[in-house]
Amino acid sequence: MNLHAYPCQRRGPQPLTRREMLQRCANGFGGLALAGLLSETGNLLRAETGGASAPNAIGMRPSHFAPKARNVIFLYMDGGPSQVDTFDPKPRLNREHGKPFGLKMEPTQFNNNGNTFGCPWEFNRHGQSGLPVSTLFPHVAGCADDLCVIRSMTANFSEHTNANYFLHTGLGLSGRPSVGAWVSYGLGSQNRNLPGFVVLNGGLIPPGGLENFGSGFLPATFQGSVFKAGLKPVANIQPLESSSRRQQDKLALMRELDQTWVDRLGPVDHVESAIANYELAFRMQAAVPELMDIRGESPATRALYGLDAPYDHTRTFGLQCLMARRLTERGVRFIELTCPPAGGDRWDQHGGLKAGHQNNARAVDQPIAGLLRDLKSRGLLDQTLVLWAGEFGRTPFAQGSDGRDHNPFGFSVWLAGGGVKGGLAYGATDDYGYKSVENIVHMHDLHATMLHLLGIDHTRLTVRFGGRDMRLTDVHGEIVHSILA
Amino acid sequence: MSCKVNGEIRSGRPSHADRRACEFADGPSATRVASEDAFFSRRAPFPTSLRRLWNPRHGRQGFLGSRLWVVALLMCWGRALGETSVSPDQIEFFEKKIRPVLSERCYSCHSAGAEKLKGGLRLDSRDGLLKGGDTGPAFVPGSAATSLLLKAIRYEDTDLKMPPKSRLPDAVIKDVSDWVAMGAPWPREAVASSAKGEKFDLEERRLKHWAWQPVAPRRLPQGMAPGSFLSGIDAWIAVRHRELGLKAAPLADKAVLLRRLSFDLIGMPPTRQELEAFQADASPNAWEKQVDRLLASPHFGERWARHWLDLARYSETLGHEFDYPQYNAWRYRDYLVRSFNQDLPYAQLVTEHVAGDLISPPRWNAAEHFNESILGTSIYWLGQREHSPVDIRVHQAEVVDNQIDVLTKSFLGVTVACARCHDHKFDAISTRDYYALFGILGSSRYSQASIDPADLNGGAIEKAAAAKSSLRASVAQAWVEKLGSLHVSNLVALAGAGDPVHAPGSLRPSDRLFVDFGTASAPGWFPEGEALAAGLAKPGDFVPGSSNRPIASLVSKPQIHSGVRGRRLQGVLRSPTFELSHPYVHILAAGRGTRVSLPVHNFTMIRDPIYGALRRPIASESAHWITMNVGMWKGLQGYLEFCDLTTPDLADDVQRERLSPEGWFAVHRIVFSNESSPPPSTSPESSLEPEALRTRLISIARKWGSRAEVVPDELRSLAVALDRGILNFEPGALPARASADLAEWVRLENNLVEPRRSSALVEGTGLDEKVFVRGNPKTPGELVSRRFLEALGGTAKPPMREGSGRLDLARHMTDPANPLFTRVLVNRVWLQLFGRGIVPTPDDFGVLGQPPSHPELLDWLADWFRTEGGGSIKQLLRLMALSEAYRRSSATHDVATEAKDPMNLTWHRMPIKRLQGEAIRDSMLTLSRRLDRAMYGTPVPIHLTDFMEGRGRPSRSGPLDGGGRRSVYVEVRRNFVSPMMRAFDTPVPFTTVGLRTVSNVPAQSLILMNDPFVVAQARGWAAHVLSRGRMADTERIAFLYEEAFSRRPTPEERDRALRFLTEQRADSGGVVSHAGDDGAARGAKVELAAWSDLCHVLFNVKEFIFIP
Repeated sequence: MNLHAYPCQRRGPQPLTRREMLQRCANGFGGLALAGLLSETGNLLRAETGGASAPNAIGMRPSHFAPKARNVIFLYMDGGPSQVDTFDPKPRLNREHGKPFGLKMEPTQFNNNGNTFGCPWEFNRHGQSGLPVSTLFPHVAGCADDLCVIRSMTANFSEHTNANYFLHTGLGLSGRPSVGAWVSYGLGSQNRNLPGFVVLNGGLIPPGGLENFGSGFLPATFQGSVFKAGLKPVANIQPLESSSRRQQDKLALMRELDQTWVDRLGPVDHVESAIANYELAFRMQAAVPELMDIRGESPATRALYGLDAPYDHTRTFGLQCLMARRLTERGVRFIELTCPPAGGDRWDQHGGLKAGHQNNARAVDQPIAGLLRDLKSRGLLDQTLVLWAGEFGRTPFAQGSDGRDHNPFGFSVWLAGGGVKGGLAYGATDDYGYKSVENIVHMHDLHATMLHLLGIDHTRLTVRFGGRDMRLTDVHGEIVHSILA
Repeated sequence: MSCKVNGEIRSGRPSHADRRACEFADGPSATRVASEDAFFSRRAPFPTSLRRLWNPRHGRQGFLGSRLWVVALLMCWGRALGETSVSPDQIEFFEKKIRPVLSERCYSCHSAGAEKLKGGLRLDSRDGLLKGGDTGPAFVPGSAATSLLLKAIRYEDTDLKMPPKSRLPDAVIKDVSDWVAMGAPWPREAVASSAKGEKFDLEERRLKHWAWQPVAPRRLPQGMAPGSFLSGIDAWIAVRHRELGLKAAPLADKAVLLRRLSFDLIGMPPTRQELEAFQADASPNAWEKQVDRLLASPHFGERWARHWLDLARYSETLGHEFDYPQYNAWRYRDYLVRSFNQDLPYAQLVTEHVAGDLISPPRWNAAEHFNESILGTSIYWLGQREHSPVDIRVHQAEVVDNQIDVLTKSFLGVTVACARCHDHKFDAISTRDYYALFGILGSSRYSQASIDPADLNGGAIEKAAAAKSSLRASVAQAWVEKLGSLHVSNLVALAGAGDPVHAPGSLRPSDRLFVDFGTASAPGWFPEGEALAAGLAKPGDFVPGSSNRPIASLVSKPQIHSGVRGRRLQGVLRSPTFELSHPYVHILAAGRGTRVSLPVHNFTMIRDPIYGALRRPIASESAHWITMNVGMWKGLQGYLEFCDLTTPDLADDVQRERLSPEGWFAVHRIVFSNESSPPPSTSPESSLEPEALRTRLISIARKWGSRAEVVPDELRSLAVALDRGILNFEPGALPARASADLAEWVRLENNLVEPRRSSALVEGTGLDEKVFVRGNPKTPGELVSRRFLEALGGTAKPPMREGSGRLDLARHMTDPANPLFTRVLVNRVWLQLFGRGIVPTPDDFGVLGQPPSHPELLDWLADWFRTEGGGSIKQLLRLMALSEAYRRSSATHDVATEAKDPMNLTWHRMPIKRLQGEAIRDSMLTLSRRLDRAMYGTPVPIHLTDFMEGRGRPSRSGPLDGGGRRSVYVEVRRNFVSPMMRAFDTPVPFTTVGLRTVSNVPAQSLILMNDPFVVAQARGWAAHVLSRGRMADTERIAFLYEEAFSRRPTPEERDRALRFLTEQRADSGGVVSHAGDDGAARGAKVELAAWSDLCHVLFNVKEFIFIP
């Protein structure tokens, strides 16, 4: 029988065998724990537990080819911003405002379709590229030459929960790993004190819940750690002991007792990994408060992000954007930001489009521009891929009289930094901004392209589950080469 | 539209194939022959070799093959018509305008040169166009306008847009249209041979893969004497060691063994007393006694039910946006606990899961006398559900896909769901197999079914009926008197009454009568519950009213009525499945506090904004028309459901509605129509003179009171009089005897009890499903008979015709000859004890799974289990636990052996297993003495932390410690899973997970270090050890060690712990004291703090969660 008949099912180094571990750790327990911490590449659990692997999330894993981007900041616009009111100008809509809609209407969520609905904002050209941006985003417009707008996005679902799962995991149902989980699974973290996938929560959890940030069938290691706003952003991060010395005493005792047990047992990989895990947890107790402490940020930086803005939701999102930069600096791979509760129900303006979108834009516009400028001035934008996207767009015809229903058939997202062309509008929707017709980019294509920019071949980033080699892009996905710098 | 397919009427959205068949019926005779042959050949498919002749690529599929044969005939026809005159101009047009476009924009996917041929379509020859792809010919000569090719390039259909990335320029689209209109002229040229298509040969795959082969009868390795091993387990483990020159580890000591066994069987540590008793037991069968003791523990079922809950993707909510509740889900959890404790034979367990609602007689719970069997079917509904899918058919496809996935992975270890869009890429499973199972599940329905006996209230109903009967005469007498003295003006008012029940009028041209319960029997309907158990309501019976008006009216015509048999009785009436052929459904009904709904394609979660039209309250006690506008779903299939239950259905918000047991519904007539208004009643019949009417009514009332035959028309007059309040029922006006009868009747009816319920799968109309080409319900293909998997003999047996076919399915699945059935089970059990399956991928025995490391052992166990083991999981566990392999030490024992088998794939020693999250939590509760050993029942609400946010968050949090209940009883909310369980790898409930991940994440350490629950249990444990009276610190430390690790501390460990206590006491000296504490109290606080810290450390020591 071939004793190595169980091939490692993911790319990357084979797990250390027990023998290798024994040889490497000949200097005893302390050395072993150290090796566990330093190697951190390993798939240390596979052997004994038979396939249910748990590669350590901490530590770098080699990419498939040279990456353009090192990390991702995903500005998730929960609810679905309207493409025709933001980045995809359609003069025809305003010309035909109030008239019956000129195209066949697909089924909608509320089935309460009205007439053609013109855009209440103006579009102006910005920057050297002349990229059109609506007056909803005066600050972001100032960064037009860094934006790569994809106007021909399409998704498969007209309903929030499915669409959110689809945007995050490539499938319209819960249970699959989120993009951030795939990325940290594929690349590991560059920071030994923080998780590889962090969600900065602005106060809204999207429909579908925390499963949008889940690790699905990947080990829990890779699930998004949701950081709440406030002093205790992470669960159980605060020791309950009355003094730090008291906790350290306890951990010291724990380590010694662990050691005597392991000495008797013989070295066991996953026990030692669990021991090393405490080191990380202990370091996180310090790293997280340090991360959240922004006393060192200059007044100019704070102002740049809108931390002194009059609108409280701008301040909230500004702090999230600042945190995103700080996490980027600390090497966290994938940082996702959810929206603050501005404008009633997220970007989901089934009615009252004007006020709702205005409030949502007001909350995020200055902070996003601040983030882009700050990253750029620190030389970080080149290696950071920023994605601005909702789960779908909105209908160019009205819902009722003054809202827009969901529209997955054509909508806009934008990318910036991390290896994409700036000042570009790629793809097109029809004259009404309803359906994508030119250079259509499907959700799977967006995912494939994001992974590509990170140096990952989306067809090779797989994990076997339920009889298939699962991918973020399922059996789809083509890289959108035209937007690569 | 309804198509006659293979002799049976099948309603529903017609597939392309059906549509063609229907069209052909009026078309040229040649094509009619072709289509009949197509259906003929479905019944008697060609031999494989012959089919290949017809089509090498698709020859595998009898019906699909023959569909292509139809196409082939069409091609000849098309050729004859279309290729007669190809002019040079046309060829030039093609070469200049068309071929370059095809080549540039289409060939990367649709030509012989395609890396992967998409949709089975080739566009590099005219034949390719005519033959078409999975969705049909790209164009049909003579009907260019409807060509799929043009439809696709024009982007007319959201689901068929080609080329996918960008629409072709308008000018090019026009060129292609022109070209197609010419008949798609193409120069004669050689056609490149077939593109790389993947061959699918089910039989070949079945023969080649180990898992499909029969289980070999038990045998021992050659050269092994039968008596030299306890069982085949050790023989087959040993032979592998011998082959590889490995030395097996010695047996572990008793303490290690008991701790291992206790966690494996009941998920909790052994007590000190249990350990002592075992240590002291020198009898030769001491170990056996421990195994039997733990298998008999009620905690055994709790531990093993949890493994099954992983397979069932168990959750008590439906997830998705609002995480709505799944009512009564906990009954399924309890069902599993009981099943494992009672050691239900495995075949029975699976049969109950597949078709527990159909088992007759069912298995009755001995203690509480409810139907256990039906509870198994809950498994189908534990998945996630959407409240408002935009496409209902796609949604059904998702729900059924998940059901198929869970069913086939859990019980067969194969991934049938991989064959949803195409034949399985690797295994002997076809899309036909998939849609054969789809048909079975699609023919089944959701129900909150009663789990009580059908005659739960039987005796009480009979008694109430007797009281009612003697009441009737008194009431009639009272009415006769009242009618005699009634003022004539009232009689005039009564005269002109017409009503839709009795004077229905005639149907309009577009009306289609679906059912009239008043005039004809209605086969194929599904009544459920005691309220409907007596069939149609009998004319003359009382219609119940409110408590101060016990009799509201009389049943005047046969009808379905859920109130007359007993006003508190409950029932559900479901119609056969029908096609929504008309935009309006008119329902003549009466009732109160009940509802009628129309699940389209079994979608029962009917809510606004989209689906509100499919659900109507029934809230008027007079017969009235209820109209549903179903135009949006025209062409789809649905059924009507009249519901008189106090259990909410999926459309209800339980917080909002408390449904009254006093509700009832009556159904008279249902009409489908193009008209938005219900059919008009005929004008009132000519009436009698008032005095003649008085005489007539008196005579009818007498007749009714004497129980003589009263015809509906006569009764109607009485009923109308009651309806109008001309007659009424005044309890106070009754003679004493009648008053007593009334009181007795009301009392008896008030005693009727509501049945207990569970979500269940029940029968619907049996209908086959069509293959969804490429998984898309919008491109239906051939119809597939309901049957079991072909590779397991499903096509060799007659297709299922009666009902859904689930009972047959269960028989096929549990057949001892099914090799997967037992292999999968013994492997699952082995996995839990030995840390890794013999097949390491327990849910996938297919080609992509991993092969068995010890195939002979796997078959030895499977054969033993199905014969000697009698399908008993407890006996199987006993056999495994008694083996030497299970009792080996896990310590490294031999350097050479470690070197040869470093991953321990041969079980030369026992792997060290990390406890599952549930066992970690339960252990802490055990030690802290907080454990509440109560079993069963509604779940303990989940404790909500600040980090558990999102829509559907419960308004109130459950207790931090879950009330001390075992983890299996803590609520599982799909969108609010316990963070501790999640961190320790309890799977996300979305599909079958037979092998949990064992991950290593900082969240685990953070929980064990800082979670208030853990800290509180440490404190509870410390308080307990301090409460045990005067003991030396060393004794206390030994006590903690024995409880936590089933051993005494080493001297070093003891001394280190003593030092720690000293340090902590010194540390808290300054911290804990407060002004006003007296010395003793302060001392106790310091002591508790120090011991709590020690206990907390012991929870964090790896030995606590890693079991050697």
